[in-house]
Amino acid sequence: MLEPKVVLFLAAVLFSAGLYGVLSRRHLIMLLMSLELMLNAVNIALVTFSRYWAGEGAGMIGAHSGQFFTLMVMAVAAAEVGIGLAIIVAVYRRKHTADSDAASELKG
Amino acid sequence: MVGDFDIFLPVVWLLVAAAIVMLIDLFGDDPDKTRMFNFFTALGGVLLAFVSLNPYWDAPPQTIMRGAMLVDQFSAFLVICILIGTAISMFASLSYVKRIGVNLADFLITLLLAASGMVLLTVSNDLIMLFLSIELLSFSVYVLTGLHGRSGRSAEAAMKYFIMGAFATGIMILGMACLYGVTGEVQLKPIGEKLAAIFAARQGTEIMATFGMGAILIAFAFKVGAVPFHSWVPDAYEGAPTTVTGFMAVAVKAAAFGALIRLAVVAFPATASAEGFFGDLGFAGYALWLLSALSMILGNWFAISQRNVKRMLAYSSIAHSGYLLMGLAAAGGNSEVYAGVLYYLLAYTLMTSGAFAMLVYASSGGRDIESIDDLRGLAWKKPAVGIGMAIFMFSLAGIPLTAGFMGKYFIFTQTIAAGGRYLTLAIIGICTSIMGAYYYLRVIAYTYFRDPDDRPVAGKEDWGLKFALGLTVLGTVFLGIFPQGFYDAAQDSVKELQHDHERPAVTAPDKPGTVAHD
Repeated sequence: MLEPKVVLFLAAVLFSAGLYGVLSRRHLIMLLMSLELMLNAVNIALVTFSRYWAGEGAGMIGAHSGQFFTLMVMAVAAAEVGIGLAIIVAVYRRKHTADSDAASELKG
Repeated sequence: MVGDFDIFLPVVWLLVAAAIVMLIDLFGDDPDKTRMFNFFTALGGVLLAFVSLNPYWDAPPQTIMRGAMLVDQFSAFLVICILIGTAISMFASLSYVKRIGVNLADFLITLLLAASGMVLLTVSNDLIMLFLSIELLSFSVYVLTGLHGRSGRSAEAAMKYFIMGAFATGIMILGMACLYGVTGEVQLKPIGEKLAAIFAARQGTEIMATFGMGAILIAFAFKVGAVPFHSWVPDAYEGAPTTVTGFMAVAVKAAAFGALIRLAVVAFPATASAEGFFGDLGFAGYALWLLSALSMILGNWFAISQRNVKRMLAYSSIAHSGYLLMGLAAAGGNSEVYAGVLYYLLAYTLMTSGAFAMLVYASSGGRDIESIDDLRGLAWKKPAVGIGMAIFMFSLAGIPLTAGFMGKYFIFTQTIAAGGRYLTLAIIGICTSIMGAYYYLRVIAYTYFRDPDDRPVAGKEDWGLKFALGLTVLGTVFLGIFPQGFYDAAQDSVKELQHDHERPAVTAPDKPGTVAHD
């Protein structure tokens, strides 16, 4: 069995990759992918914690909430992609580009 | 006795109304014919939700779904703020959404879903519920922001809001995972107990706990638009349809501050002292101090240079977040002191949604109010605009006999009483309020003392808008002259919070499935 430490490290790396993507990418689709990566990295961490607390003999609620939480995050992530893509399409129709730099009408 | 299901009623009514409007819109032939029916269905949902709150007023706190939700007077007070904001937004939009080319049903459905997310957020007592309800309200508000079909700016605002909001969600869920990782619990009360033990023991896990709490705090700072996490606020407020902006400003703030207060009192209590927001953590006390000071200074500073009225109100809403955060910082986890914040939220709901409704009213000639120059001399062409705008601006500036003054009075006196570094914060707050008066009063000066242009003004306004304006004007003045009753209600509400804080974690474990936490 993998040590929680190793899996958590993986989650941290993935989260950092997502964070870097959000901060550096200009294309909206890439931004959306990076955001999803952040959420999924947290999913890995949640499952790891859940397993860890089950091993520690935590109560029902404590041990299994992590996995339940993961399911919820997955559902929310799917909804987020839906809304995000809809907004990107709306932007693309007006600006004919999906580059976040093109969105510069509002400033001040 | 209130059964389990009754607790959901406020949310259920909102969702039922949304579902009915959705079905009518789906099967109705002509959107114009069903318009009024849709409107009254949605309004009925809001009113029924309001009525079904009754049992929670003056009732002991109740938990349901194994403690995932906690309904008490505190949440009832916030739900009232949220429902008022929703209703005013609905009334103000009655003809506005048609003018900007949006189907009223689309608007109402999304608004009701956002409101139900907010109601759920105020009763959340568990990290999962907190996450889900924050997402429900955020998604709905992203859609509302981008609803203005003909305007490229609306889509751009929605995009910016979505990216910043989704980013904040990522940070928040990371913080929640950290808290779950160190405590092994998702419910706020056990988390609070475990965290207190962790910080007492100091075996290394307190670093991760601190990180988790900091991440959640950052995410909430994003949601309420506090500096330095405010970059989306001006763009989203400017690009969104005006009535949506009013809704975003008041209801999202009420819900997010409610959840933040509950987190502060229940989940992060530790040894709640005046020294630090999260007890012996200390850092969060300073973090809130800094967020509040920066929001007040920069929010007011940027607002001064704005010519666009909506943008100016956006920066002013950042400044108001700063005043509210000041109350939170000074309370330091002591729930008695949050009454001022609750009162301010109610006052803020009335005056800000009123101010945005007034922008719709002033612009109902077909041209939207953009620059402050559009308000030039409008008071002489439309006297109601002059008087209403003056009352809202006086209230936002905090001039006596208005709700805004009493709200500021309660928060500032509590902050000054906290002493120490909070005294500095209160002084910053008073100085920036005076700064803020400049740009609020400038609006009044433009409406009264500038020569009107020769553009024609609108003739006919619909009754919904007038009703919304009447309600907010009366409420703003009434809260300013007779604040005591409302303040007492706010104090009762936060007492419940404290009371629950002292009680054991999960009540009524009469179901065999309910498992103890330890």
